[in-house]
Parts: sequence; structure tokens; C-alpha cells
Amino acid sequence: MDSRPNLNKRMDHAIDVRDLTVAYREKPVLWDVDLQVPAGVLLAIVGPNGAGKTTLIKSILGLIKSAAGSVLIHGRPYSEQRSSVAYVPQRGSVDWDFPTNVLDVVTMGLYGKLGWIRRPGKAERVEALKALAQVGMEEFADRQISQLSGGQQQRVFLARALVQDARVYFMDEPFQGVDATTERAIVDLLRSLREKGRTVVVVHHDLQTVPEYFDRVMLLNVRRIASGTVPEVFNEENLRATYGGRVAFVSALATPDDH
Amino acid sequence: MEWFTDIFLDYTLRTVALGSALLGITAGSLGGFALLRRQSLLGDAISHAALPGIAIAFLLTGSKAPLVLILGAALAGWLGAALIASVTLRTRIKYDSALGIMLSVFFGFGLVLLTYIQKQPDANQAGLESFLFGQAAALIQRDVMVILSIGTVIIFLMVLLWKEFKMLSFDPDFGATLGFPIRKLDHILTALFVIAIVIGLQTVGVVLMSAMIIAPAAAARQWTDRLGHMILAAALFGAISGVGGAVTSSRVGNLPTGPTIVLIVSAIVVISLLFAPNRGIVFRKVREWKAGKNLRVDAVLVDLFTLASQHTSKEYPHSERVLDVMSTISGPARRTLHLLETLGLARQIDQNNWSLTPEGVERAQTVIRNQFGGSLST
Amino acid sequence: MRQCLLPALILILLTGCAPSSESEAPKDVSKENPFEVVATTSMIADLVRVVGGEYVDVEGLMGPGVDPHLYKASEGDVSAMTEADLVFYNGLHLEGKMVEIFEQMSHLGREVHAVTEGLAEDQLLESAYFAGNYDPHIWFDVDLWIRATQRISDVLSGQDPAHASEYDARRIAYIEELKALDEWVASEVDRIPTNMKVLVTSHDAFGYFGRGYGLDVKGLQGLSTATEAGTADVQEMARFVAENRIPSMFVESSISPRGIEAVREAVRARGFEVQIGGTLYGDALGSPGSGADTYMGMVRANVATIVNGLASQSE
Repeated sequence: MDSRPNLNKRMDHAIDVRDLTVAYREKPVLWDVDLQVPAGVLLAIVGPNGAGKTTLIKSILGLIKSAAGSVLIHGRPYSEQRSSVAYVPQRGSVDWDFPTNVLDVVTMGLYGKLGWIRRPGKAERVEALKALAQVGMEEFADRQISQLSGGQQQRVFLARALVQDARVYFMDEPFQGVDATTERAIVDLLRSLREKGRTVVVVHHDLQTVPEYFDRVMLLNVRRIASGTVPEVFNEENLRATYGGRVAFVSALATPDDH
Repeated sequence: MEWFTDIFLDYTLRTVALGSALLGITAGSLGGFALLRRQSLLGDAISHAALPGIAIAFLLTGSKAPLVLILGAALAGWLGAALIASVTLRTRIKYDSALGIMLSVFFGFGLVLLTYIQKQPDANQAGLESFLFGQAAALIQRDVMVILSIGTVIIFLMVLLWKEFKMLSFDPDFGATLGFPIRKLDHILTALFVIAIVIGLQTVGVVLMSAMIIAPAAAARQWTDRLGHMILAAALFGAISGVGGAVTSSRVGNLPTGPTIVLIVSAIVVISLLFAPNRGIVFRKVREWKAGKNLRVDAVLVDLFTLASQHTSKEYPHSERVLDVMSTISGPARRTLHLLETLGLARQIDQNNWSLTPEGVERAQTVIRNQFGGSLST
Repeated sequence: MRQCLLPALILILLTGCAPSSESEAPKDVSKENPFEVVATTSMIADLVRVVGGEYVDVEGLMGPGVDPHLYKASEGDVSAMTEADLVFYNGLHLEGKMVEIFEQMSHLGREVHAVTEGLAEDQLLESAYFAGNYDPHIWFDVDLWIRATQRISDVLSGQDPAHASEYDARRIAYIEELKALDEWVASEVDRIPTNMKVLVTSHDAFGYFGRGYGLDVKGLQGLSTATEAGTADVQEMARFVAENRIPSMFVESSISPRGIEAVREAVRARGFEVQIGGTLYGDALGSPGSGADTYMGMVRANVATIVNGLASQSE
């Protein structure tokens, strides 16, 4: 378990979530969740289905109403820090048959900077293309999004987040259903973000790769089971507490030195 | 071409055509966003929800002035839309069920009110029910001016908030994280919707209004993959239907204008579903057929080559029957053989037998090389 | 049609519960115990009151300003009809959405009578578009309305032979009044110059009136208001009015004036000013106190409006 956060240290945390509780029809979906994330780390959030992982991200971002709790990003409430936060939702959350192309979707990441009514212009186009280059998709700028593969779709979503040049990134299952090349590309991207001192929180579905890809991990099942660095926290006892029974794969994962 | 000049010269036709076209443009463009947001039937629900508003407006004011009734209709339609959203959000009931419920409840309530009004000894109530069904042919210049001004405001707002509405339709959660007030934008778009529908009620009436929202957009989607083009196309289809309906019902006696407009826009939808390039059914079938044909051509070509390879000459003839049996692709080989002949790749020796031409031999070798990496001897 | 199904079903249930003795034993009618009568249109209600006098208590279903072509009976209406001793309706599909109810009721043995029953086809105007369908607005033809009076009187006398002589007396007196009215109307209409004898209205309600008094009648909508006027109909009427320089058109009390107003605008665009001469009572009587709340009053009011609109224009 994480040591009790020093009040002086509050300013240092990139993400500081306290007592976050979300209820859905009287049933708690997130209960009294605390999460402190220092800047410049890659954090995975893992847990079984229905653990509240997506809910956690969405309530941090204000997309779901919380019954209690506070969220600070770099010491200030989230609502004041929107321009410092980028969101990569699950791929399945949009209709990819929408009549638009790749460049257009990435440009949407700049709408916040543009504000009301202003249309994206040449400058925005250049920035969007740069972000596409970062994910290796510049040639696809004019492609209809309905013609993209799963991995390509994910890269477009990432580019949309990158173009915001945020300090904190929240990603919901970005590795879900992508090909191996894309997966490697995403990991490289996350690492380069970390180099730049950015903080990335990822809802991750694949326990196998947690030790390899991430510095820190949070185990969640409605409550926070544990969170901290991977070596400290990613062990059999905690996994069992998070996932319940399912012994076999749990013990296979929690081999302490393989990473 | 008298009918064409009449559009400009004859007062009635000009007025009805213009009013209907403006309605088509407004409803069609907004319908594009509704379609993309999977809210096509919302137009139907709002049209039906407007009925009690009309009845209550009349009961409260005793007036049948269009402005009064329109205001009542708008408020009721708005309330209906808001309730649908609220019910969907707060209860287990899904969007389509909520929509159906509100539609029925509001409309039923409206019918009850109308029956109650029927019972009142007030001779002034005549014509409330015709608001239900619309009377496009009775449009006068003043009505068209109202439609024009309101329609212009709607289109203006739509263009002004273009990227906001695009965001709302594609990925509202993401938009919220950027700081856009998504709920407010939703309210604004819904309000524009309600207004467009309510001014259209006079023209085509409650029952047909939903067609004017859904059909032009559904047709437009078939023709383009760019949002801007799609909305423009929807507006265009709406306008064409409006004018077309007016002109047609002016050439043929006893043809009610509103339903004619809807028939035309429906025809546009059917044509679009069938014949649009890329997405149209006919084109897709043609593409599939062509792809299938290429497969068949290559298959028979290779079969002929393979058979001939057993003999000294690559142009050794074989019968159709053998080819039929060999072929793994369904359908008689005869057709494909004729095709090969026109392509100069095969030649008919006699009634039943065919052989490859030198060009055919070459082509067969290329196909085999591509397919199998040159495993057969050349 | 489907609107009739539910009331019809309720009807069956209700009549199942009603004591069947009502329809078998003849009612002992008196001033203290009059016939309970339900009439559909206000014209028929008026007529039944005239013939029945104190021996009838009439409830009219359709008030002033109500369109009988579109009227949908409510459950209250159906139960009123079921409990009544007698029901009178127009027939010839005037009450377009109640046809099934009447059929059901007569199958169940209720006393349901069309005042147009027994009228010979050659007396009626046939629809131009649908052969076998007749113009139901018979009340504007005095001869036909006299027959309706006869019919009501026959039914009342049949049900209540004790007072037959009184019904007869009232009938005869009323028919005299109707005939006098007829002469008055004819002389009034003759004040209209011949080339102005054109009656343009919202729908074809005045066919019999036109036939009876030599007016050319044109309605924007057809015989039933359930049909919507098309663009061609509006254009055609505008052309007709402008070319023939008709001085006035008329709206009707039970129909939205928008159609006629649109025609007027179109006529104006052709360079001719046509007036809206006033509101005619086509399918319903006027409100109580308007003076047009009886048949006599309605006819007089209509004729005054028409003659005013057409005759006093010095064109």
C-alpha cells in the first residue's frame, strides 16, 4: 500500500484523487478510491470486469457524476486544468462509420484550443499532421475512418490526444484488439511521453504485460485494492484479492523477478 | 415547359414550392445530424408530442392564430424531447422505448384534448385537427416568410456551431473533456430540431413530418463520406422533394401536396439505396459480380492450361464437360469460355472443344506464377 | 375506420349489460317522461326537437363548429347512444367515422335511424368521383329536409302511437314553415345578378342548395373534409374566381379558413380582389345565441351572408 501522502507533497502529484465514490442506482461502483500519481510515470489500472476501471477514468474527467471525492491535476481541480489533460476513450465508444477522415478526427483534439465557433485552419492542419506522423499515420490523413483497421483506429485516437500536448493522459484500453506492430508503437509512444515528464494512466486489460510496460499499477475492484510501483504491488496476494479465485493464471503472472 | 415557368409566375405554385423547399432544406439538414446521432425517430416523437401543445394553446387563448399554435406545439415538442432524454438517463428504459412511450402518451393526450374541445360549444375551433395533417396547398406568402426567417436562423446557427455539432455527434465524451458544454449543445440542437419540425407541421402535418427529417438524410448518406457534403445533399434532396411535390400536385388535380412531397423524397431514398456509387446495393452487387467474374476467368484459364500440360502442346483442346467438372467455381464453363474467346485468350475448336491461344497460354502462366509462386512447370 | 372499432367494442359490452326490456316494451311517453333521444348533427337535433316537442329530450353529439366528417365518437357518446331510446343520424356517410357504430347498434336491435333512409337515389346528388356515393348534405334541399321531417315523425309515431296526432300536427306546421322559407330563399337569391350566381366555399356542402336555387357551387375540398386540397385545386379555384370576377368567397364555420384564404391570396396575385363574404354554416348550426342555432335561423343567416356577398357588389 502506498504510504500516507504528505500534505506538502500534494503539489507534486500529477494526479491526486481522494475518496472518489460513484454510485449507480444505490449500488456503489467505485468506493472511496484514492490514487496519487507522481509526474512522469506510466500507470496501469487493472481489475476484473465491472471493477469500475472505466468509471474511474470517466468520473475523474467529470463525465460521470461522483457521489463524493475530489480530483486534483497538478495541484488544481480538474475543471481548471482541462487543457493539461487528454483523454483516449475506448475505441468502441464511437461509430466509425461516421462520415469523416483521419485528419479531421485528429483535428478535433484542437477544438478546445480553438474555442467556440472558430474553424480549424492551416496552423491546425500542420499540428494535426505532426501528431499523425508521431503515430505513423501521415499517409492516412485523407482516409475515411470506416476503412481503418483496429490498430489504425487506435493510433488515430492517440494522435488526437497527442495533438493536445497535455501533461496528463488518460487512456481506456488502448491495447485492446490491436495488432502487434501497433502495440509496440503504442508502448514506444508511452515511453517517449514519460521521457518528457508526462503522466499516463492506462486502463489495461492484459495482466501479462503489466510488468513490462508500466512503472506503476493500481489494482481496482470497486475499492482500491493496492497501488504503487509494480515490484511493490504487483504480487500474487494483491492479484488474488482483486480477482477473487482464478488461481492458475494469477500465480503464473506474479513471478517476482521476470521484468 | 409551362410547368417550369409557372413555378415563378403562378402565385400559388411559387408560394407552395418555396415554402415546401425551405422546409425540406431545414428539416433535411438537421435530419443529417439526427441520423448520425441515431436519433432519426426523434423527429417523429416531437411531431406527435406537439399535438397536446396545440390543443392546450387553443384552450388557453381561444385563438387559432398560427403563431399561438406554433408556440404551443414547440413547447410541447420540446417537453417531449426533454422527457425522452431524461427517462433514458435516469431509468432502465432504453432510448427507443422511451421514444415510443412519449410519442404515444403525448399524442394520446392530445387526442383526448381534441375530443374535449369538440364538445365545447365554441364554433371557433374549426381547423385544429387540420394542423395535424398539414395543408401545404394553403400556404400563403406570409407563412413562407415565417418559414424563411426561422429557417435562416436555424441554418445560420447550424453553420456557426458546425464543429461543435460535429463533435457532439461523433464523440461527445471527448468533447466534454475539452471543456465544451455537451449537455447545452445537445439542448440547442434539440431546440433547433423542435423549431424546424413545428414550422413544418403546417406544411406536411404530424404524420409525415418525420419523413422529412429522416428521408433526405438517409438518402444523402449514401452518396458521400464527407459530413459537409452529406448535409448539403440532404438539404438539396429536401428542397427537390418540396418543389417536386408542389409541382406534381399542381399538375394533377386532387393530389394532396404534403403526401406527394413525401412520396418524392421516398423515391429519392429508394434510388439512393439502390444506385449510389460505393454504398448502393446495385453497385455493390455489380462489384461482387465483377470480382466473381475475374475469379472465374482466371480459374477456367488455369484449368485449360493444367489440362493441356498433360499433352505435348499447351494449346491442346479439351471439352467443355471436362472443364465443368474440373471447375471449383459454380456455373457452367461455357460462359467464361466465351468471355475468354472475346478476350483472345481461348478459341473454340468445334462444338464442344476449346483450347488456349498463345496469348492465353502466356496469361495462364502469369496467373499461376502469381498464385502459386511458379510451382508448375512452364 | 379504426377509430370506430374501440367504441364499437365498448358498445357491445355496454349493450350486453343494459336491460334488454328497454327495446322491447313500448315506452310510456309523456311530458314528464319524454323520449331520450341522441342526435348526431345539430341540424338533426333541432329537427327532432321541433317535431317531438315536449315529448323528446334531445342530446346533440356535435356542437356548433364541429365537423361531422371527422367527428370521432368518444366512449361517453357511445354510452349515451346506448342508453337512449332513439338515435337519429344523417346517413349517406356524413358521419364518416361513426358508420360502424351505427351498424353495430342496429344489429343489436337498438332504435337507430338515418333521417335519409328511404330517399330515392334520383333525388340525391351523386359524387362526381365515386359512383354510388351520394352527397350527404341534404339539409340544404328543402324537399329532402321535408322528407327527413316526415321520417322523424314516422319513427316517433311508431314508437309512441298515443301522441301520433300531435307529432303529425307539428310536422305539418313545420313543413308549412319550411315551404315558406323555401320561397323566401328563392326570392332572395334572385336578387343576385345571374352572372354572380356562383357560390365558392370551403368544401362541397352546398350542392343541394345550389341545385335548389340555381347557384353554381364550387368547393375547395371535396364532399368530405377528410380529403386535403392539392396545389392544383387551389390554383384551379383561383383561376376560376379571377377569370369570372366572382365578388365573394365564403368560409365555413366548421372548417379552417386557411384554404380559402390561400385562394384569395392567389386571386390577388392575379390582379383581382375577391372578398371573403363571411362565414357560412355548412355542416353545423351556430352557437347558442348567434341566431343561427336553429335550422331556420341557420338558413336565413346563410342566405343573408351569401346575398350580401354576391349581390351588393356593383361589378
